[in-house]
Amino acid sequence: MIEKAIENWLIKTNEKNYQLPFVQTLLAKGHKVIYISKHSQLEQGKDIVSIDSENVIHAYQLKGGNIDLSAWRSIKGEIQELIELPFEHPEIDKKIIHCSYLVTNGDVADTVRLQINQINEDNERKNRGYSYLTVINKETLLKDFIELQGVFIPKELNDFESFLKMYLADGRDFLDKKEFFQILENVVFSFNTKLKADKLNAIYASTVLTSYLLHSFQQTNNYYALFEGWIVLCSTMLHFAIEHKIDKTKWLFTFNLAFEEAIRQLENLKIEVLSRVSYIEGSHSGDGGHIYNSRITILIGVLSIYESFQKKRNNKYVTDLKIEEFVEDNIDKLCYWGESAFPFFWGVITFSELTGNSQRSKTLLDYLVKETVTQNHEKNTLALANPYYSATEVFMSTDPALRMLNIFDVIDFTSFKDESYCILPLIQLCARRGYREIVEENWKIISKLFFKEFSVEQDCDLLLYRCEKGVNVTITPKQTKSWSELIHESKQGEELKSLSKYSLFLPFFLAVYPHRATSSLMKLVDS
Amino acid sequence: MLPDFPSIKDKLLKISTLLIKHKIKSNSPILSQSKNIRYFEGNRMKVIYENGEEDISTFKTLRAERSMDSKEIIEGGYNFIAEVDEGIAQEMQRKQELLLFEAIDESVKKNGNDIDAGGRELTQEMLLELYEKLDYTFDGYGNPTSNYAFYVSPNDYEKLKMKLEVIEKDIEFTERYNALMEQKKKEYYDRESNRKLVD
Repeated sequence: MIEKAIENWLIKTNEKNYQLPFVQTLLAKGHKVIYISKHSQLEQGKDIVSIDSENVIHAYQLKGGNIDLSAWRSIKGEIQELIELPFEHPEIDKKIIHCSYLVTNGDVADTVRLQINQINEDNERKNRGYSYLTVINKETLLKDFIELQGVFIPKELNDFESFLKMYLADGRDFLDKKEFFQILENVVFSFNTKLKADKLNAIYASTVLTSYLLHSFQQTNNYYALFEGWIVLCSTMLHFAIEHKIDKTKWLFTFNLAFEEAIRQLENLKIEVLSRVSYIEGSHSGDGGHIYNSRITILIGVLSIYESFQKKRNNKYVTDLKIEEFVEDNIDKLCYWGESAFPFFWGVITFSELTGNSQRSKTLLDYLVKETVTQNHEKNTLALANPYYSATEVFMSTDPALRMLNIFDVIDFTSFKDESYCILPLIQLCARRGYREIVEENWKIISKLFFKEFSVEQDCDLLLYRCEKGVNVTITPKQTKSWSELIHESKQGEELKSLSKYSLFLPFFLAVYPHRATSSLMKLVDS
Repeated sequence: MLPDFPSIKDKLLKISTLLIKHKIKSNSPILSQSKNIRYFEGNRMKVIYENGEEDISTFKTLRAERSMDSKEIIEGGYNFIAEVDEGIAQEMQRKQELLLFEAIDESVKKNGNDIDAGGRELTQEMLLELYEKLDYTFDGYGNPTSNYAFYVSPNDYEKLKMKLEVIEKDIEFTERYNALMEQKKKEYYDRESNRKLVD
């Protein structure tokens, strides 16, 4: 059944989506992958270049679908580059002829195979010194992916049901992160083994599993859901690797592959956003109002985080003016549906500062603090939902018509009164920026709220979507608070130092796991 | 297996759970005033007070069980289940109230906020001592906004009600009570004026 699921995914997907699991199969075979193309730009006709354990160089060109004579003729130029040109890389001796592969998730027509054989024979006959071209088709890919999946398939019936539910999910909806996390945990990362090799295999297998589990979201080009899926994998994988003290050199490449896949989905999202005239999505009926504003909030937030990330990763990166315009044009649509919207607002705040608009950053911080204290102060009955509740869950409980349909799961908003998960990170954000007046103006009511957070036993547990062990902390703030003390507390200390190496990854992690926007983690990312 | 109606039963079970929760809240004055907080993860809770003291507690499981006779189920149908739910609601209410009172008892004893009447009847002195230990809030016009209530056993209710009426009619008590409220008002405004950011 799982093989059928993998096959079904493989024949429907494109080369960009099977690229990562294909790279993973090479890693599992002991290859060192030295090049992976980005943005569909082939380098000398090569998508992937690897060196195997016997120092043989392998170059791959990936294609999607069946390759008949017409398709073959359209790619022949690229194939020529693949087999004729040596790859420019310090690790590669250009005198050595590499092995070339045309990879496709479809079939290669016999007429094409005949031409390939003729080319190979002719090159050999005339001693041209070109590389030999081998075809890897759907069957070989499928066999490799199934082998890589190995023992990491659902065994319990519950897991199987979850697996099918995820595989057949409505690709237009948000990813069910809880369900997806649970599948990864149960099927892959709770695999009981002491063998290092098996632990590595679990990491490798998780990328294949993720690729085809997200199949329905690939079909609908639901880039945001795909981004979330890859981030859930990244964080779960990272937790597994750290907890089991696996040698970083063995798994970091895979982690980076998965992370780059998440970034690629955001790049696709950015392209789509900038090409759109209208941001209504799907059925017009029911769109607009809070639904529309929340969509815009997510887009502005996550694309702001993306732009800031690009700048942080490469100082020479120039932030995209079109994204700045998109943020500016839609800033009035920002919607604080609940505390799970906080990371998106934080993304806009930091992006605004990066692009020289610190006034907007201050205005947003002021708004967030005021909104939190106003909504959650005891006199109000409809407090802001804490960050464990998504926008969907909040709207299902606030909209009068939806409440009737959702009667069994209506949120009790009174339970959020007098407390907040975001208020401490918010006032510390203000402290780091010297915005004393925002905190001072609201301190009377801030001091009446209980500061809530979840505290973990080991740093890496914060990477889990849900953590069995940990403390739900309620902090009573001081009535009289020293501003200098607040500034001191808001500076990064020793907490979560082990996660500081992943500071580029963490902002995206927060967008997907808003309940992890604790004061400690915010200190790390908001440096 | 025989033909069944699980989709209907699932919904009925959800309705049962909702109704039990609703009954508990509406039948229990103290539980109706308390907040239900849902935690999604973790295995403990910790409260950090303003003075830095910490209180750690673990989650406790409360359960109520009922056995049902097949004959009663067959003849009663959902109406019978509703009766069973009533019993479950009462038991859960009792257990939750007990847990809450135990927690309050532990907390007030720890903080020295308990008054042991030693089996004696309520007196003016005791009542004033009780009010003295409470924190009050006031609105901008000086009116008290705190919502305190006496929780007593049904057996003691009438007796206590009469006693309170007698005490509260006493002029001396009224004077002392008003003086106490003035003091409490001052304490409240002092506390409020301390809610500030300093250098």
